[in-house]
Order: sequence, then structure tokens, then C-alpha cells
Amino acid sequence: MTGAISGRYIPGDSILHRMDPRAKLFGFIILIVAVIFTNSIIGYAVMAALIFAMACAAGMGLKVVFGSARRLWSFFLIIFLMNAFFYSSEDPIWSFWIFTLSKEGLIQGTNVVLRILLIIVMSSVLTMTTKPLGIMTALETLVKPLKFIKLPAEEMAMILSIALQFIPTLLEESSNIKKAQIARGARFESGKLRERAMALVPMLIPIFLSAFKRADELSVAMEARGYRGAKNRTPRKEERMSITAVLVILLCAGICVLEYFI
Amino acid sequence: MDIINGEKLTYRYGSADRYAIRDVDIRVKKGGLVAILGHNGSGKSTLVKHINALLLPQSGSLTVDGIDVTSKADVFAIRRKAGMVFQNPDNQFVSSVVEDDVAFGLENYLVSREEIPGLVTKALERVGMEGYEKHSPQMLSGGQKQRVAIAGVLAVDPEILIFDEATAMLDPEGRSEVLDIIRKLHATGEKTILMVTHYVEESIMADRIILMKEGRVLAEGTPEEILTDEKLMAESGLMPPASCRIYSELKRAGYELDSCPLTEAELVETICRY
Repeated sequence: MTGAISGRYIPGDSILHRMDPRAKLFGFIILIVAVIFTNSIIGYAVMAALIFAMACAAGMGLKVVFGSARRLWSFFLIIFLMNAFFYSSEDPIWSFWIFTLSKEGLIQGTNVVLRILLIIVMSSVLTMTTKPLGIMTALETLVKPLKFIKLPAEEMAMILSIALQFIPTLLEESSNIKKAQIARGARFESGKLRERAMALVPMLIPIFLSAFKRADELSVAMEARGYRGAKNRTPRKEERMSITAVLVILLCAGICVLEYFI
Repeated sequence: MDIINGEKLTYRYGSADRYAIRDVDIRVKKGGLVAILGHNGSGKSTLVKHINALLLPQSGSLTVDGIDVTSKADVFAIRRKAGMVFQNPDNQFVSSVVEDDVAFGLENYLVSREEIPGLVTKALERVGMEGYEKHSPQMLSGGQKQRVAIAGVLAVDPEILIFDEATAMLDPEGRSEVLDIIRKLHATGEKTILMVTHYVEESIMADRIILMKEGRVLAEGTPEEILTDEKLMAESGLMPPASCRIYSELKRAGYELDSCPLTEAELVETICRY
């Protein structure tokens, strides 16, 4: 599984590392919209320049930034071929049975691939420069307005925070269970894809069981400590965003508008 | 004055055909350190879960610091009075930052935001974990995690502390860290402490032992009275402390010491005096 979690946080002290996680997350979401608007060569050039600038600001090479996207090349290829061959067009270059190759299809395929590539690269820049806890607090801020439409925003924030707390515990446990199964002759690494998938079943069941048991114990512990719903708690102090953070969000919004018009 | 006063407590889980506890009387004096000793499934955890109203008695009565636990309105007042530390340190953290986790209880009892940092620091100091405020519990040892969990309970300043097998999952070092804290807290005389355990050696430090078996109280008394009673210990299915076992063996071999020692040090002294 080495390198499977590329896009993982890389400690550092760059401008992007020190930026308010909320600004990064909101900016990221706005930029996703910008990517969806992007439709021309100039537009893609602007986005490419932006990613280059981000990589420089984060102090990372383009190779690192594109790391997670590179391993997905077969996925990109399939997406491209699907779009190229199944795009219905009145003016096909070549057609056979259900396949039609057209200029529109090729353009569509290129667009989709480039957009997904841009989003993946941007998201890895976000996760590589932001600690998971930072992303989580930013998400908490993001779900807060949901309480105006009567959704339990406080509870959702609580769930996010607990989920984050349990990730390392469950990872460690799954590795223990895996070792225990290997010790009893299970094979996870060899065999056909189907066999390997089947081998995961005896691993997943104990993990789920233990996760439920943990959840049960945690809920008792929380009740014992006086928890009675996320509403009846001392409210958290909301730290105000700095001017830089607001400017970053505005800059992203500016790029989004720009992409809409070019 | 008895801070905990329970009479004829009975509880049965859902569809179980056996009572988890049956007709249990429990009286604990303010400032006492009581060990509830028994085998797995003897009902000791079920019993203590009544004391902070996690379970409500199905019959019998229980008052904690004068409050009747069945009066549902006071559930949170009772939970604030009786803090509880559980067995698995990994399953009681709600935050991936130590100071946020210690603050959890305070936030639940609506302590004002300004007071919280001071109380958190004070609680961490009491368990010797100052300086770990920004750490992730994941990076701590088992004993340290359990100390942070104790700090989380101490932060709300409960009068009663319940340790529900709080040392059972720790390595020897972690265990002695936690037991040291229990001893220190007891020495201040401010807290009433209940420790649930199946380690006979841990119960020696208590003022009183409640020995349980199959949901009933088998015996209650001082560690000297309970642990040195060979017949009683055999009935409970627990092994007496090593020093008591040596005492019994010596007696059988014809050497009767003055008294049955509870610790190794006492044993050495008694043998030397013989």
C-alpha cells in the first residue's frame, strides 16, 4: 500500500501551509466551480498557471503536486475514450456499431479529463498543505449555516470531529487484524483480483464489529461526561478570518468570474 | 455521612435470563476509597453504572449525595457529582487534541468559555500531564491516555470518582501511573473514590472492599478482613494476594505467623519477627 495515500499532509512552513484552512477550503470550492466554467485554451492556461503558482507557493515540485493524478492515468484514459466514442454527433468522423467518433466527442473528452485532472491536483495541494484537523475545523465552519434550514449543524460538526479522532485507531486495528489473518494463512497480496477481493471479507467483518463496539463504548463515556446533545454546550468562540484569508477567497472568486467569461 | 446509599438494587439487561445485580446494598462514606472486587460477570460494572445514573435501578433505591437517582430531572446533577473513567482509553476520547478532550465535560455543563482554559490546565496538572495540551491522544502511551481521561473527569470537579477497571488494559507501567493518581487523590481526602477491579493486588490500597459474585455482595469489609479470609476468597473464585498464599502454605507446613500479611513488605517483616 506504499504511496497509496499520496495527497497526505506534508509538514512545511510555506505561505499555503500557514494560510487559514477555512480560506483554503472555501477557495478550493470556488475554484472547483471555476474549473467547471473553464471551456477554452486560454481558460485552461489560466488554471495551469494558477496551479503552477500554487505549487511554487507551497514549495513543492510539480511532480509532487501531480503525484496522485499520475497514478490515475488509466482512469483518465477510460474517461477520455468513453467520451470520445459515445458522444452522439450528427457529423461523425468514423462510426461502427454503437461507437461514433466525432470532433465534438474528442473535445468533450479532453474537457472532462482536463477538468478532473485540475480538481484532483488542486485537492491534493489542499490536503498536502493542510493538517486534517484544519480541514475538519474548516468543514465545521462550512456546515454551520445549515442550522438555518433546520439541519443539526452542531451534531454534524461533532460527528466530523469524532470521526477524525477514530481514523488512526481504526487504521491501526485493521493492520492488526490483517496481520492476524495472514498469520492464519490468509492471502491479501497474491491471487486474482476476485480472490483478493474475497480475502478482504474476513478482514472487513471484524473491523465493522469492533467499530460498532467502540461507538457503543464511546457513547456511554460521552453520556457519563454529561453530554446531552451538541446544542446544550458552551458555544465555541469563532475566530475571525484575517484580511489575507478574505483576500484569498476574493481572488478565487475573481478567477471563477474570469473563467466564466473566457 | 454516607455519600452513596443504595438498598436492594436489582438490574437485569434487556432479555437476559440472569440478573446482572440482585439485592445489592452499597453504602460509601464521604472521602472513602472503596474497591469493588469480583470476577468477570460478577456485576461490579453494572453496579457502579447506577451511581452516575447511566443505569437506573429496576428495583431498590439509591441516593447519591442526597439526590435520588430515579428523579430524572437531576440526572445531569448526579453525573457531574460522580465522574467515571472507563476501561479502554481509546474509546473515551472525543477530540484529537488533548485540551479539547479535557474541555468536553466542561462544555457539556455549560462552563463559560473564559473559565475553561484555566480549569483544563489545572486538571492536567493534577495528573502530571501539563504541557500536553496541544498533543494528540493518539501519540500518548496507554497510561498517559488514561491520565488524560482522568483529567477530563477531574476538570468538572466531581465529588465522587469511579474507576471502572481503568487499569485493566494498561501495561504494568501505565497501571502504576494510574494507581498513583488514585492514591494521591485519595490522600487529599476531597474525593470519594470507587474502583472496580478484578486485580486483588489493587484492592489492597482501599479502605473497604466490596466482594461480589454472580450479581450479589459476597462480603464487605477492610482488605485485612476480606483478603485474608481463605474460605471467602476461594468462594469468590479469586486468588488471594501472594503474601496471603505464602502465609497459608506456611501455616499448613506448621509455621503459623502472627497475622496474614497483605503486601510483600509486610510479609518480610512478619517472617523476620517470627
